[in-house]
Amino acid sequence: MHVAFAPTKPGRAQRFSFALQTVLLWQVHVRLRLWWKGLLALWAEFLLAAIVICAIVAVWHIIQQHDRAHRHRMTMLAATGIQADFEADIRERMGAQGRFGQFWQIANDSTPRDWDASAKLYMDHYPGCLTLEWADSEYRTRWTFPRSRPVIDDAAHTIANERRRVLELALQRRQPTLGRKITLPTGADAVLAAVPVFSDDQLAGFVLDIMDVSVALGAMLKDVSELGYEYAILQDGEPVYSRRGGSQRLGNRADEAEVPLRSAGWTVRVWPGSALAAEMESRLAEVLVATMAALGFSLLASVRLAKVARRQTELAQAAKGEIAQEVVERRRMEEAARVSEARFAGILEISADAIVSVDPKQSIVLFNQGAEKLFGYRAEEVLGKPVDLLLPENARTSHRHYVAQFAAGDTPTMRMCDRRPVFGRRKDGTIFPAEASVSKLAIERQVTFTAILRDTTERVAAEEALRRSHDELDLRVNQRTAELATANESLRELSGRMLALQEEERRRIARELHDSTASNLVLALINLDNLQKVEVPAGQPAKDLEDGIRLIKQAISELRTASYRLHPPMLEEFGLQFALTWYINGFSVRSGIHIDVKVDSDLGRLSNEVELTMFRIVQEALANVHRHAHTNAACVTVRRDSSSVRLEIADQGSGITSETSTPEHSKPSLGVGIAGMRERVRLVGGSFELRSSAQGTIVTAAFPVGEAQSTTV
Amino acid sequence: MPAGSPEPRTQIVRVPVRTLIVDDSESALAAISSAAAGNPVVEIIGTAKNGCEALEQARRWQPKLVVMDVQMPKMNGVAAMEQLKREFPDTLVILVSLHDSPELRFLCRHSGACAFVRKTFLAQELPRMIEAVLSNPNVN
Repeated sequence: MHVAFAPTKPGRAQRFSFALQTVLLWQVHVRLRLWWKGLLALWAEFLLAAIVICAIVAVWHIIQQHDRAHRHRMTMLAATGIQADFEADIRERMGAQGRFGQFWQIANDSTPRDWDASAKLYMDHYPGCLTLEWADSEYRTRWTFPRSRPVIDDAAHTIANERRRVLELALQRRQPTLGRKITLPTGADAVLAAVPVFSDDQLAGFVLDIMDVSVALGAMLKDVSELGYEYAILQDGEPVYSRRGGSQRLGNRADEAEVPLRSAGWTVRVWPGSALAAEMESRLAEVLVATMAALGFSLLASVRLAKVARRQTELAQAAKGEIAQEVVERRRMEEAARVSEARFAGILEISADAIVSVDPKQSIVLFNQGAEKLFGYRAEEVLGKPVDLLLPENARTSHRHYVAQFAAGDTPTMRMCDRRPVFGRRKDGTIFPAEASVSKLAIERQVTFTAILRDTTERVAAEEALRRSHDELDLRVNQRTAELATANESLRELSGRMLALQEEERRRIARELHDSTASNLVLALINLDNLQKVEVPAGQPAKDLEDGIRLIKQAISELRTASYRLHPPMLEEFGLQFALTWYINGFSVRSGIHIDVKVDSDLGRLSNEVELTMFRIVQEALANVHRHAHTNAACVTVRRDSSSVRLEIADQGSGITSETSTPEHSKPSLGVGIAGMRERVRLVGGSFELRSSAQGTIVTAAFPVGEAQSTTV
Repeated sequence: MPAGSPEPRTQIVRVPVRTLIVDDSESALAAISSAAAGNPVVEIIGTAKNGCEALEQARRWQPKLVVMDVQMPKMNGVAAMEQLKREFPDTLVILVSLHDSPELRFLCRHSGACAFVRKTFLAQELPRMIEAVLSNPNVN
């Protein structure tokens, strides 16, 4: 079963869309880059354009500023005119009101009908007056016209408050006073104008005019609207009256003007109407800007044109220069090629190496002096002939094969000797070894193989000689090594024989001492003893005899010790276990060191040499313990298994220091130092090890034993 | 007369004890002989120079008592004694040696010797030991 988990492939349309996007993005990227490069190249033009634009903007700005200032001045003038006109009008109306009051106050006998008539006259003259009222000094209404005032009565409360306020303010200021704008139920805006009337400096009453603002002010400012300006009367920033949507105008226009109306405590804001504003605006800025832009862009265009022209000139010149240079370069190369060819030909000719070129048909096309010398042919003899002429017969087929292989391969050069030794054939038929490098050169599909050959006959001979001498040297070294090994072996044999001889000599001396000297002394002792039994005269003779006996006993004892130390008594007779136990017990008594002896009870007998070696090692090791270890305890262990016997002498002493281990200090007690122990063990085929630390020294010797050597006592 | 039979002491004293002396040294032989002669019952019937010779002599003369050095060439005293005891269990053997140690004494006794005498004290000890051994052969 084979289950393929192929990733979901995107649809063809998706893939196409993706590719298209990529291409488009790439194109955009490339275009942007090109554009940016173009921009960079046009930096001078850019600079110029920027200067022109800046200049235009500056000029336009200055002209605009001037224009605006001019319009503002004009509006200001208009505003001042309006102000003067309005002030005059309002003053006149209030003045009329005052005069009316004065007149009325004087005529005490007047009736309401008179009031009505006078008021009617006033109202006819000053449009917008809704009610004219006479109020006494207590603010009470005395007369009023018209009597029925449906609109005002509906707003009685609002008006009453405002009336009171205005009257109090007027009394306080002792001047005609305008009240605040109030809105009547009809939707019309009204303002109260109160004029206090004094008689002999005494308040006589007030004339109160409730006027419809739009009617009254519209009548007053009728002339202004003909100027084409628009305006608004503001009370505390709130429009009281405005001509044509003044309340919608929020001010802050550059060309508007605001002036105070002192008589009313109002201000008037004036600005040109749209028609007037259009008239006032000058076209100077536009004209200037257009002119400057035209000038600037023509300048830019001329600069660009000049640049293009210069570039074309340069290109033309460069093209001329390049052609000339190319001609020079080609001539130079031709010359170089000629020189190189000549030099190459010269090198080829005089080269000590043989150089042979062949064409693809294996015909010789080049044969230099070196080749003539090497092969013994003259160039004329071989040119055009097949290369086989120069090869040993057995190499011709393989050579063709190699050439074909080389021709097909990619490597342009090859050292033949890297592959195998090459052989050439001389004219006289002799074959010679050579080192060759081959190169192939294809010129117009014509492949030429060139081989550079060097005769390596001498080198091969030298190498052969070197190899022979090397072999000889090896042989000598081996011989010398063998001799050394033999000498070493002889030396060891000698050393072994020396040790054996030494032991033999010691044994002989010990036996001599024991058998002969000691026995004689024993005999002498017996004789002296016998003499003692006979009557010996008391005094000096008896004493001499006693002395003699003592001396002889002492001599025997010394002899015994000497013999015992020269050769372990009865080692051969009774074996190692017996001899060791005997020796160690004696040593323990003499030295005061407690020695623990653990000898396998089934140790049996070993070869004389091994037993003697082991005994000597115990002797030497214990002597070392006594001399150097500064301890009073040691342990001697002999263990035997099927293949070896192992001897260990351990102490808990101070260990072997560098001082005690030097040859001068480790004076062997019986010619056996540590080196001696090692040598003795080696002679009987055992292994020796000495481990020493501050915790003590352990001497270990192991000897191989066969079962045959085991014989019990 | 067989040595192992219980006999009155007076009889033993009178009957000479056939004695073989073994040592590899002439002077030692002389010394041992001289010391052994200190006991009047001892009759020295022969001497030998080593263990092998001692066995030959013993087979020929069948001595009652053998005084033998421990340390000898060819065959040592202990080995010779062991062989002798195998052939003639009744033979009494006294071993002598120049050396002395508890081990040696133990070895000798253990191997079947009736007594061990140090050569240094031959004159004093050997006659007494012979006396003791003869009177009580199983003293060991």
